[in-house]
Amino acid sequence: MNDHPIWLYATVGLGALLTSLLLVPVFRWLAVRMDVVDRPREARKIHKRIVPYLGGLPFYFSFLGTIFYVEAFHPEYSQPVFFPMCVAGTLIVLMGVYDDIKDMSSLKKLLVELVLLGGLYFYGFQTTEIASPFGGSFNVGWVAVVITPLWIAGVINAVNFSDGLDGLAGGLVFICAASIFAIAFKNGQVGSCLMMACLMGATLGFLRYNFNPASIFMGDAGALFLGFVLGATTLLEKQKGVTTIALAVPMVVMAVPILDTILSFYRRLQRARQGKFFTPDRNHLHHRLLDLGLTQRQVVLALYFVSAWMGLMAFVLSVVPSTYSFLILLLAAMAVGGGVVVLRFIEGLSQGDE
Amino acid sequence: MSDTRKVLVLWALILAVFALFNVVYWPVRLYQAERDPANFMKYAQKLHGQGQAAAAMDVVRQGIAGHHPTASAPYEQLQDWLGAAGKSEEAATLNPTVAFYRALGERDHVREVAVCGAVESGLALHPLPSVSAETAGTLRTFAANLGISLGVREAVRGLSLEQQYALLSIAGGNFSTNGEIGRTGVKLPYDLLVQSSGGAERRVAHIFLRGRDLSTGERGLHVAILDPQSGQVVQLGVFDVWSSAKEAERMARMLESMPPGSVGAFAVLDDASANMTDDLEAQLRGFGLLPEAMIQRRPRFFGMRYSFAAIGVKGAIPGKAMQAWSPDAYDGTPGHPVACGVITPVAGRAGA
Repeated sequence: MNDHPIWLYATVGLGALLTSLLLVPVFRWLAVRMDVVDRPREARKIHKRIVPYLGGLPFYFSFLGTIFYVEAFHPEYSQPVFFPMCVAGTLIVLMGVYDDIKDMSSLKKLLVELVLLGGLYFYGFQTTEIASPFGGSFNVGWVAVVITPLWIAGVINAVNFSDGLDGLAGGLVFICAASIFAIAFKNGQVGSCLMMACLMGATLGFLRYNFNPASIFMGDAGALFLGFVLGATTLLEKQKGVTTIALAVPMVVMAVPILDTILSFYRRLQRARQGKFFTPDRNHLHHRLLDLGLTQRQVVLALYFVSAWMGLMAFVLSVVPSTYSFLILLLAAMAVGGGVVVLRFIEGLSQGDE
Repeated sequence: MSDTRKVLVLWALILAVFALFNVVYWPVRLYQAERDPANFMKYAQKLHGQGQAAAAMDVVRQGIAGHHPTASAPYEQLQDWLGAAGKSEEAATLNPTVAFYRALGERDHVREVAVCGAVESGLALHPLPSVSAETAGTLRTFAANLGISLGVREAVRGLSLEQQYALLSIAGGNFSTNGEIGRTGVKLPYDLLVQSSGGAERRVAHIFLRGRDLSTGERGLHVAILDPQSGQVVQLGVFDVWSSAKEAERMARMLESMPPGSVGAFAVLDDASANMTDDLEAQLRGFGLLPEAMIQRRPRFFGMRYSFAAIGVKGAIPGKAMQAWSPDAYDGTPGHPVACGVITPVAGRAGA
C-alpha cells in the first residue's frame, strides 16, 4: 500500500543527521582521550596521521533512537523484527569495538557474524524464497537458514572492505541507502524506507567529519553496523506473506563494494596456499585507483559516481518489467566487467611507463 | 589504559545505552501492544477483569468488525459476555458463527460433520427466497468453491441449496434478498453475485450476472460496471494491483469516469493490496464501500491476500453498499472465500 509517512521519514532522517552531527565530536573526544585511534603503521593504510575511531557509534545510537521513536509515536509502522535487529546490531557493534581496539582476526569475525546472523533467522528473518530478477521466485527451503546469514555477512564485509579512504564507506552507504530508499518507496515498503532514512541521515552527518581530510573514522564498529542494517533491511519486507530476498536489486545498488569484496576474496584464495587467506592486503579498488595517481578525493568521488550510477540502474531494474530485467543486469555486468578491464589496462600502461 | 580495559569501558558504555533503551522501549512497546486493535481480545479481557463489561463487549465487537476473525474464540467470548449480561437473543445469533469457526478448527471428517452442524443452526437466520435456476447454479458454484477451500467438499456437495446459501452467509457472506444493494436505495431488477478468495486454498474471483460469469480468472481486482436498470455491462476489467501501482491508477481513472448511479461489482483474486493507492481507495469509497479491515492500526479495504467481494453504487454514501471480506489468516487460522450478492426474489422480477 503506497501511503508513505513522508514526515516520519523526514523526522527520522533529520533526527539521525542531528544525532551524528552532535555525537561524532563527542566520540572523537572520547576516542582521543581513551587512545582508541588508528595509527598508520601498516602499508595498506592511506592516511599518514593518527585518526580517532568510534565515529560509527552515533549510527548505532541513531538506529536505537529511530526504533524507539517509531514505536512510541508511530506504532503502526513498527515491525516485530525491529527489536531483534537492535539486539543483533548491539552485538555487532560490541564486536566492532573489540576489533577496533584489539584487532580481531577476519576468520573469527566472520564466524561470530554467521552465528549471530543465523540467530536472526529464527527471529523474523525467515527467508525461504529468492526472487528471480526475471520475475517470480523460487523456494530454497531449509537452505534459507544458511543463505540469510551469508547474505547479511556478505554485505557487512562489503561495507567493511570499502572503509579504506576518507569518506568512502560513509558515502557509499549513503548512496546505497538512498537507492534502496527510492526502490522501497516505489514498492510501498515503509519499514525499509524508515531504516534507509535513518542510515542516510546518520551517514550524511558523519561525512561532515569523515570526508577528506577526515578527523574521525567510523571504525569496524561503524562499518559492520552499517553493513548489518543495509543487509538486514533488504530482507525486511514481505511479498505475499513470505520474505523474499530480491538479490538482484541490492546487488546492483552495492555493486562497487560487492565487486571489491569478490575481487578481494579471489586474491585471498590465491594467497591461501601461503596460509594468508584472512590477511588483509593493499589491492582493494581504492588502493589501485590511488596507485594510478588519483588523489584520495578523486578516488572517493569517482567511486561515489559509479555507485550512484549503479543505484540508478538498480532503480530502473526495479521499475522495468521482468522481461527487460535481463537486459539491465547484462548492462550492469558489462559496466562492472568493463570497469575492471579498463582498470587493469590502465594499470598495465602505468607499469609499462615505470 | 590497557586495550582490554578500553574494550570493557566501551562495552559498558554501549551496554548501558542499550539497557537504557530497553528501560524506555519496553513499557512503550507493551503499552502500544495493549492498544493495538489486533490485540483486542487481550484488551477486552483486561477491561472485563476491571469490571467494565460493556466496554469490553464493545471492544470485542469492534475487534470482530475490524478483523473478521476466522477463529471461534472472539465470537465465543462475546457470546459468553452477552449471555452473562442477559442479552441471550443477541448471543443466540452468534451460534452459527461460533459453530462454523469451531468447525474449521476440527480435523477432516469431524470438520465436515461440524460444518453441517453450523449450517443447521444458521438455516433459520439465513432463509433463502425463491431464486432463478441461474442464481441457484451460481450459489452452488460459490458453495463448492468454499467447500473445496475449507476441505469439506463432499459435505458441502451433499447440502441442499438452502443449506448451501446458509453456509455462504455464515462464512462472512453478505446477501440482499430484496433486490436492494445494501442500504443505498438502489434496487436491481436482476441478480448479481460476487465471490472472492485471496490467500485461501481455492483462489477464485467470480462476478455472476444473471448466472453468467464475467470474470477471467486472472490475478488482481476484478471489476464489472453495470447499468442499474438494464444490467448492461458498461465496463469490465481486471486490474493487477498486486504487481503495479499503475494498475491501481488505471482502475481509479476508470471508476472516476463512470456516471453516478452505475453499479460496480468487485472481487479480488489472490491479491490486490500490494500497490493499492489512496486514490483508488477514494474511488472505491465513491461506490459506497467502506474500509473496514484494521491493518496496521488503520482501516483499509483489504490487506495482503484478503478475500474481498463487494457490490456498490457510484455516488452512494460510504458504508451503505455491500461488501464481504476475510483475512488471509487470523491467529494462525487461514481465511476463506467470501461471497456477496443481490438476489431479487423470483416472484418480484420483471418477466418472471
